[in-house]
Amino acid sequence: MELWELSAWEIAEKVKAKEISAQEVLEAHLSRISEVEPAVCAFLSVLEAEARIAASRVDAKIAKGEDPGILAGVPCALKDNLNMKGTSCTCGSKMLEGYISPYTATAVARISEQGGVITGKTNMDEFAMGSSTERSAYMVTRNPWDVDRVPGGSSGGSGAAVASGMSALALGSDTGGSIRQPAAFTGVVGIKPTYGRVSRYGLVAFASSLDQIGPLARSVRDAALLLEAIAGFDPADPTSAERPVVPWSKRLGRPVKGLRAGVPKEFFGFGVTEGVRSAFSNALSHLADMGVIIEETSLPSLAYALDVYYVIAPAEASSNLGRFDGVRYGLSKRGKGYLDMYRETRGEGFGPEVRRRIMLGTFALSADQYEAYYLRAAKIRTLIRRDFERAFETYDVLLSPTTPTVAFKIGEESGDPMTRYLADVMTVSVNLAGIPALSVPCGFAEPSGEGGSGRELPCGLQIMGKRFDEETVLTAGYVVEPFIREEMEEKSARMRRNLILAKECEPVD
Amino acid sequence: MKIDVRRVADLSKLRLTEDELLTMEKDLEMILAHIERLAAVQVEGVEPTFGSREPEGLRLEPDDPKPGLSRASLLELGPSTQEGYYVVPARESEGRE
Repeated sequence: MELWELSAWEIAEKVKAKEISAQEVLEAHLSRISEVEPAVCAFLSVLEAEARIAASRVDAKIAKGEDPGILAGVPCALKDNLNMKGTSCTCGSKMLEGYISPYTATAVARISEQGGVITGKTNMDEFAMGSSTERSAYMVTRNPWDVDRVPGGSSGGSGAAVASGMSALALGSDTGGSIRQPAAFTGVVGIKPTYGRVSRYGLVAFASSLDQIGPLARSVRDAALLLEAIAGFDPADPTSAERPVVPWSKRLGRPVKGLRAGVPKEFFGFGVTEGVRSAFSNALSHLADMGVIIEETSLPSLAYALDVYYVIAPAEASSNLGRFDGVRYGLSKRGKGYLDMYRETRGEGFGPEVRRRIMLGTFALSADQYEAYYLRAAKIRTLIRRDFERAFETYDVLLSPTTPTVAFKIGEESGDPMTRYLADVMTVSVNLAGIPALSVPCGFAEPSGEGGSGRELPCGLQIMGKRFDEETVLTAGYVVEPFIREEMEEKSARMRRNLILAKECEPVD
Repeated sequence: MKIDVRRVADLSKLRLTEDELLTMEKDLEMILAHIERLAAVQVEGVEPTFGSREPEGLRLEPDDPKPGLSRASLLELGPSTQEGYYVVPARESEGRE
């Protein structure tokens, strides 16, 4: 077995036991990156020099007999909207080309404190607005399972890096599904923690009442380990919750007999394909065999979640992105006056999707539309939150497919932007309610319309939990993994071999 | 729903070409056509949710100064600075707004 194939927790154990060094682990991952990155295009920057320093520090600590931390020597990639001092942070946008972070995000600092080795910054849809990573201003990341398909988004680079073996762990951010949807498309585990669980200090803001940082990993245990490292109170983020961090990775494996799971029927009104539905039903029957009590339930307001999201998220984005004014950092285009400077800088620096969402948000917040759009959406958000609260009086978790379809083809766009937004239809309500949710691979399905092609792509099971009850969500996710373990191991080994033969990708015009 | 894209682009401080304005108008109208459904939802007497930390609300920090980023490190990121200030085009040259 190659070192890059090891799980994060195995790496940490072996490094601590001096069976392998952090530097050996890093070199194995760097060579894996040079081998498959040309075909996957997951990284906007690879931080070789910084990573080598970090790895040698971990080894030095161990040599001195000091505790290197729970992520000792584990390579971790960062979505390129997380600041790390002295490195670039483009957010996938031309607006921040050449920008060098003057400070480090709390979640990133915590990874380093726990012995994790940051290896690079991953590609993303511009300012996290998108579900395919095609909206990056730099390049399109490809799905390691089929390089003609998208890895999902907006944390698509992180998902692809982990799935292809270029990184054991990665951080993403999730505003409406941006961790869970790429996790489902690339066959990895992704967690959107409870709002307030992980400090957002140093994450470039998209929609502040929805954004949360979270892990992507190849197993529930690895994801739990990374969550343990990054979670916890931070005075630098006023929305950070004063809740104790649970040693989640050590609490896995508890029985699920008697656990009550609800399946909201509204999710199936969203065009779930036959293949995804069948993978989901299989997972449900396995869970039922283990003693999980599964019932259909109803959260009527879920029918409006996507519409509410596409008012609230753009409204908050239009305000947050007001900071890009050409004065203090990033791109600056100077016209004849200061208003010209704003318009030219923002017109040129932002790509079409970001401009569209700024326009939509500005419209929804404008004096004559505020009540009809923003205020109304905020009220319906209350109904959505209440529906979840009510459901969690009866159920410990709620279950759904993570996405209605498997990964779609690169360039497969329709004229109506709302059609693409449907990729988020299963995930946005979780952010609106502020609850935690996990996506765990639960099977494989053929893309719809390609029956009999033999081409199968991973599907995710979404497990939603009560606020701050990541423990139950992870416990439930952990028992799902064995259902498809053999199939996953065999298929992913083949996928990782095939990647070496895949053609190189090309930069975006 | 008709939308005055020129006005919204102006409020958004975005320079868009004529073609971009046309595409934007079409896109926004398609999105709003979906969102219109929200008008049918009964929200009388429902309080809005603006943040995800409600009902707890946000924690307030004591108003004590703490060390932060240095002025020099921030100014270094500015596209144009002089004697410790950011340089911007003059307001006068813009005419009345």
